[in-house]
Amino acid sequence: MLEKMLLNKTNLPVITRAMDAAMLRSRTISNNIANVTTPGYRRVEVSFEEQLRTALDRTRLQGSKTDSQHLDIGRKNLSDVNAEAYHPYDPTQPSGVNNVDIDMEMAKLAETQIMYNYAVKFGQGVFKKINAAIQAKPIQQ
Amino acid sequence: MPMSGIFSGLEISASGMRAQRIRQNAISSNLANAETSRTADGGPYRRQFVVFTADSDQRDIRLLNKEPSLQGAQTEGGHLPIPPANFPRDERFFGNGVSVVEIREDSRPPKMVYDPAHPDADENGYVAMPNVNIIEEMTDMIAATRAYEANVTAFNATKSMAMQALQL
Repeated sequence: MLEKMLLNKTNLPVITRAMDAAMLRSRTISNNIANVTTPGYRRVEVSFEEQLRTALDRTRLQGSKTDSQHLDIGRKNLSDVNAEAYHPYDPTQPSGVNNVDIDMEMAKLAETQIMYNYAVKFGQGVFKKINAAIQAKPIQQ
Repeated sequence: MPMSGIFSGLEISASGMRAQRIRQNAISSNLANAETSRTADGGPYRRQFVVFTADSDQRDIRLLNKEPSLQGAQTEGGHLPIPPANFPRDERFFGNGVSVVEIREDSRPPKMVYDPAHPDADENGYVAMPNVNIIEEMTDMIAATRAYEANVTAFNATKSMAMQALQL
């Protein structure tokens, strides 16, 4: 009940999904880096941002569900947004043995790390606000 | 609960580090034996190299990707169950690091060096020397070192993310 009435009204659901996605992405990048010298390996990527964008786009229609067996229509529910790992179609071979580009992977790794840290900072802010509201005190900087 | 969450990224990077270390050991062995003309199997030392293969973990696919699946609703006792549909999963493949499948011997012929005074020389005065090319080994060593460093960076990134999560 607390989750429904308090936590889900904040940005926390989005933050946790972003953290999940960043963690999965760091895993796939680790895997790509571990296999950088494996001949024939196929790079793995994670799709998340596009899904989240459509789920948060209020201009899209969403079919209302009156029964648990109903199917989704239009905009996805935020709770259905899950980061997914997939093989991109990429026949280029920058290293000569597979389609892993080590510079690209290192850049993505740094980016993912920053995204994760950002999500954590954002989450800390949300909890700080909730705490302040509960104690009826102004937020201490 | 398998270790799919926060620590599996570390395991993947560790598998990469292990694989590169084995490769480095093979290179060290090649360099140390670059002039070895006699081995226990007879003949000169033969260059060794490692073969990598990407590991996959089927269990992780199911854990990481919740598939959208249709299932028939049963509103009456007489209804037949309609099981959830199985969607093809091949594009959802997710890896689980790397491993060394075998350490092979290079099949290139040995280098013949003219040295009649050598105890292993044949009747024409030629000694069969290892098929190790020092320059090739050196470049391979640089590649292994850099790949190892990349894995260490990935390991540290995953570690710092896990530490950040504790700050929430």
